Amino acid sequence: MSYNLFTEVSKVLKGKDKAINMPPVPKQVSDFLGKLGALEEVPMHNLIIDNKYLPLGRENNAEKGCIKLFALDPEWIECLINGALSLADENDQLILGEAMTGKYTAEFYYNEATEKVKKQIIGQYLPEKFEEELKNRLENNGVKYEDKTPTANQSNWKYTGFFIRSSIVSTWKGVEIIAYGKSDTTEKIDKKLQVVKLEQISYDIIYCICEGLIEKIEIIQPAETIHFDTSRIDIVKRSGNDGVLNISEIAKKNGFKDSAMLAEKLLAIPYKTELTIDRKIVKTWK
Amino acid sequence: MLSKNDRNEEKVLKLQSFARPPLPGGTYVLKTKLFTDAGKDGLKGMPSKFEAKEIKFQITAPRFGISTELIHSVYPLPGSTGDYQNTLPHIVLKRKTFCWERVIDGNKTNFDKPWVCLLVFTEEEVKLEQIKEMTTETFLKEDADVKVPILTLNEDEKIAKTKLKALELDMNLFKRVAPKLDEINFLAHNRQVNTNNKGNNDTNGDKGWYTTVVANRLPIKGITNYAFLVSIEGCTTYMEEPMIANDSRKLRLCLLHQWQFIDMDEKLEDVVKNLNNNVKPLTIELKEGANPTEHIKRCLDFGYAPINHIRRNDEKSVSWYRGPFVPLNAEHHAIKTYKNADQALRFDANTNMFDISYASAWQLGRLLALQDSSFSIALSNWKNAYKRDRPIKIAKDLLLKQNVNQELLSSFINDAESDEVLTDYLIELWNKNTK
Repeated sequence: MSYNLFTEVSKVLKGKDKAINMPPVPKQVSDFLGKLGALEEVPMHNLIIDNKYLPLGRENNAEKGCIKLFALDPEWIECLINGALSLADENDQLILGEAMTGKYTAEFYYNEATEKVKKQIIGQYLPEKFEEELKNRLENNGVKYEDKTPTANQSNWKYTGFFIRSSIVSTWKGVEIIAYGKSDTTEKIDKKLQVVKLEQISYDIIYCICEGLIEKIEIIQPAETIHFDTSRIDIVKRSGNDGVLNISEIAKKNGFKDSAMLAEKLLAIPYKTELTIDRKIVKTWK
Repeated sequence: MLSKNDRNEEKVLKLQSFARPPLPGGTYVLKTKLFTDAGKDGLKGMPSKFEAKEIKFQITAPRFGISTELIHSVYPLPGSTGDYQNTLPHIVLKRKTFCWERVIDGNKTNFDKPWVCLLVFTEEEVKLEQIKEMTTETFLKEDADVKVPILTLNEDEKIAKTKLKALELDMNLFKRVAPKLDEINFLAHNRQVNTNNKGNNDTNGDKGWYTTVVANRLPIKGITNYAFLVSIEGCTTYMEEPMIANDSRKLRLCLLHQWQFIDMDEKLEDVVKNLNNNVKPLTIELKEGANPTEHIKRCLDFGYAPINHIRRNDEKSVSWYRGPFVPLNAEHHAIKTYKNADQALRFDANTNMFDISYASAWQLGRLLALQDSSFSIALSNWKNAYKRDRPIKIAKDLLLKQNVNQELLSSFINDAESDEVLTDYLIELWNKNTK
């Protein structure tokens, strides 16, 4: 009998199709690798090692501030994941390859986005309306409802982002940032990108990572910090010329019945700034 | 729920004039009475009345101080200088019902009046020395010169002797600046905002709801202005009294929060404009006059930073490092594995320096994995199962194609050399077939 089972088995083991019969990756493993891909556990110091990347600067007695653009380097992530997998097998290309298809991280981002929206709308909608609202809000943020498979950008690790260092970060606590990219069909810059990370890391530094190439950034003053602009209505001051307002007279004159009406009329229009990014300043690796 | 005004249906911002808490703070008594007429129907010996019970309970609400965690933001920013002439200072708090958690004068019909107000004074009117720390007991001790809020302490507060910050103001200054009783309603409201495009969760308030208290005074230009959030519980009589000439009395108020700012001509618009002119790739910015060599400049342009590096042999040197963020359009190449961090070290011959970026990432990944025991355990179990089960599965597939009989199996087992797992499996199979 010439047939040797052992040599045949080892032939298959060493063969090209290595992924054959791979048992499903446990959830703890895929979750953790997804988190690593999203740089979730990585200390800030390892992300940006020197303050000189983000100078505040002053010019003509006014603060300069800076917006610094970047792209995510997938090879750095690959090394990070490789290091984590080295606990079991340094040469494990199989699971590293799986992780680098971006599917674990895509899943992590999807779960994060749904959790965030759920927190906002919980208790405000009836169960049947809840899913609908969840779907709407997710799609408004560039996330496909109940679709955890990585998008083309996610599987190619096309993430871009920026740091902002400015006093607006502290003045406008909870500043809103919306990033736009090119539309899939037309060349227009009107596609809302999924913001996968938006984190304030110090009182005047915030950073943001988006899926895909950022072409335009919109920075909006948060609604809860909008101030009261008295030039918007007729004001009446108390006698004494020391800036004290006669609120009851103002209310009478303008027909305010309560504080909400007063606030509605006095609140300044949220400040909004649009920023189109010149792609030329970003070089390509040579 | 109790929304009086739900105007502005747009999702950007909702305003509400007040939010009533389920119960305002204070001492409550719950009385129970139980009686039955069962005795009449022949159930003899059944008492018709039962002992009445009284349960005392407290609803605690902030009174003499608030936690800084409750404060979301203040405007103008503490210590800032800016153009605030036409703006009213305000404070944003993270709890929806905050301003209505106490009843200002104990009169239940005044539940819609906030118990706090925001007072603005200049440094000429108020000196910071007028803020004193004292216990609630001393705070409420009135004398001829100093008037105090009319409050009753509950038993817990009497025992606790909480320390608070008291602000002593000239009575006439208070009357001149403080809002009147019919004005305070206008100075506090709720806002709900859409929290979709925001960063950290902790700034999101009470499901997107915030309470805002607005001052009734415009900042005075050119000097330091103080904003004081004070409790006006028990102060209603002083707010309504007309001013008395040459009033030397003082009023003691409980100070909850304070900050200061200077009204000057720096505009936020300019800050944003400057920011827009400073969009750059993420690289280190050198000081003016620095003149790096061509090779070093190239590394800096690629987003590297020089950092101190102590080698294994204790030798001190400088190496290049960058994080995962690069000022370039990065591409992903083929999968490559490193057996240890050192393998991922790279050397830049032009500058004679190591690039430790990938080696650090590798090491960091390993350390993070070690920290997470549920991951490391799951990973090694999975790996072992994979190593054990895969040859068996392949063997099974191959055996299906063969005509398996005992003779063939024993010949396979005789072939066995090193693979114990597979041999064990084959022996098991042989045993099964013999039975």
